[in-house]
Amino acid sequence: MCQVDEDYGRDIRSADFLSISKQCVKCKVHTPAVLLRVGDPYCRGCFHEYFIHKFRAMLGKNRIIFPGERVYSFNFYYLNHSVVSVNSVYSICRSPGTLGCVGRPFIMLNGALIGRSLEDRHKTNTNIRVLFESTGFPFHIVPLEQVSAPSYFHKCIFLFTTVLLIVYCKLPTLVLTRPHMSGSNCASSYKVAVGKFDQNKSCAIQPSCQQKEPVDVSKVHTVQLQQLVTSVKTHTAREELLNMLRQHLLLHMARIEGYSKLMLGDNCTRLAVKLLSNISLGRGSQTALDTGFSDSRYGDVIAVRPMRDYSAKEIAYYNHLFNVPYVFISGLDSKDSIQRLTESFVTKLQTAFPSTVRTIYRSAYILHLLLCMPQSLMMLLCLCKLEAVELKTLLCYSCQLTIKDMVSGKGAVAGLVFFIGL
Amino acid sequence: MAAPLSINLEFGGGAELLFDGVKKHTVTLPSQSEPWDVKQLLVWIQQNLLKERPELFVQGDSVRPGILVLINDADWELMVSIYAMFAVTCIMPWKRFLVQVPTNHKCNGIYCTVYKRA
Repeated sequence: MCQVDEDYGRDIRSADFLSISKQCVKCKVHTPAVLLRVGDPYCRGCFHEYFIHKFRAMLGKNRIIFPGERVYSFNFYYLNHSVVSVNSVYSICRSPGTLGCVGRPFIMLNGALIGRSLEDRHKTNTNIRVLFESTGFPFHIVPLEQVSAPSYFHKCIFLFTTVLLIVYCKLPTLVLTRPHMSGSNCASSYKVAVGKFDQNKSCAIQPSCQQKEPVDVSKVHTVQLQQLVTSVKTHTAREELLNMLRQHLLLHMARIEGYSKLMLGDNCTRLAVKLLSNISLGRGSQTALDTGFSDSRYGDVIAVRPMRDYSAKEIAYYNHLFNVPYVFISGLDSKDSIQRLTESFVTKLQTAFPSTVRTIYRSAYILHLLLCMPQSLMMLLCLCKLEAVELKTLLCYSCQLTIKDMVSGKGAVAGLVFFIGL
Repeated sequence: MAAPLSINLEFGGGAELLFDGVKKHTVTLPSQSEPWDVKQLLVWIQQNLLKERPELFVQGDSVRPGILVLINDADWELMVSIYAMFAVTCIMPWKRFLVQVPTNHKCNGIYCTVYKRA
């Protein structure tokens, strides 16, 4: 209110108006550094606490990862680019009070697909190796070509070269088998596991210092992979194919190494993009699996997304403020793919209408699976259940579109069958 | 007349690839009649530092949606809100201007004016 004697002549450029005048919404003492939501600025210390608490709460609430359990983890930020960082997950796993799940970072290199020279790829390998060695975390670097390496096919049946034959024969046991699940995931056993872990923390699995170097991949495999990817006409189908190959390789490596959990680095922003692009691609029925906290489509290996409540902004801030090192790897250049356009759309939407991304992401909560489908009817490529009961084809609608976009038709499909280990 | 201004710029999270892979830059902005603001700085960066694909860095007179900006290790949204209230009157100690991707960020409306710290 105006006062008669009020002094309006003071210099408003006083030091009181330094860059940030508000205080942290939590401690109400320190100067804020991060604005997570409108009106909720956090200082550096409170942001750190908030970030770690959120991660622990997510794991504790869902009770899927047991204390001391070995977890295979794979992190990538965006559709096309991988920012390989010693993700916050690992620093949190080390922090006191965490239930000590032990993650092994898994880095998948796709340099061959983007035409990078061998020297460049070796340089990237070296950078990643140095990055993880400096932190002491065990790690595992796998080139994407390994999806076609001989070791991948140790359980495969080569006799079946066409999808149709496989329909009427028993499906191969590599990625399509759903082993019997033990009942160890129930809440009571989780409590028992927590109790045991608290009683004897020294018995918890400690990260071993063994590190797996990227295996040497022959040129033949590189060429095969490049041919397969280039046989796809559209960028959209290429992205889809790459994601499928990633999925297969991840699952395969997890099984070989004996990991029961696969920790993915999907964040809220990424899941919003995935949800919308899945709908655009005709994968609406698979969206619940692709965006939920846990993905049990593989049976013996459960994929979890503990970072799904974090926005990309929060993760980027954490990585920057707490000096999390990273290595940037370029991906496929596919500007005009549905996935990239959806990503661009969501980003712009967030700019104009904040909180929209969270709104989209929360829609994933209300999605449910079609549980009535028999387990044997699994889609070959994306490993989801078939939408149609009739065995007209083993491909879902979206995968049919992907195959349709392959240049050489049946030949390319045969190559794909080879790659996915059928 | 604003004196030449020395600042540190840092690009991270993949944004450095647009700048020949160099993450940290120490630059001196030339003197001009008006104090430097972020909008002018972006134009200067585009003209003097940016090496390729400007569409991945700027959009209109702001940064591309998805790019996260920190000023003095703090979210620039905090400053935008302050500056929206106090127009261009705040004195801001300018040590670093950092651009980082990827993230979603509301980055419309740049009201910051940069003064060299006394």
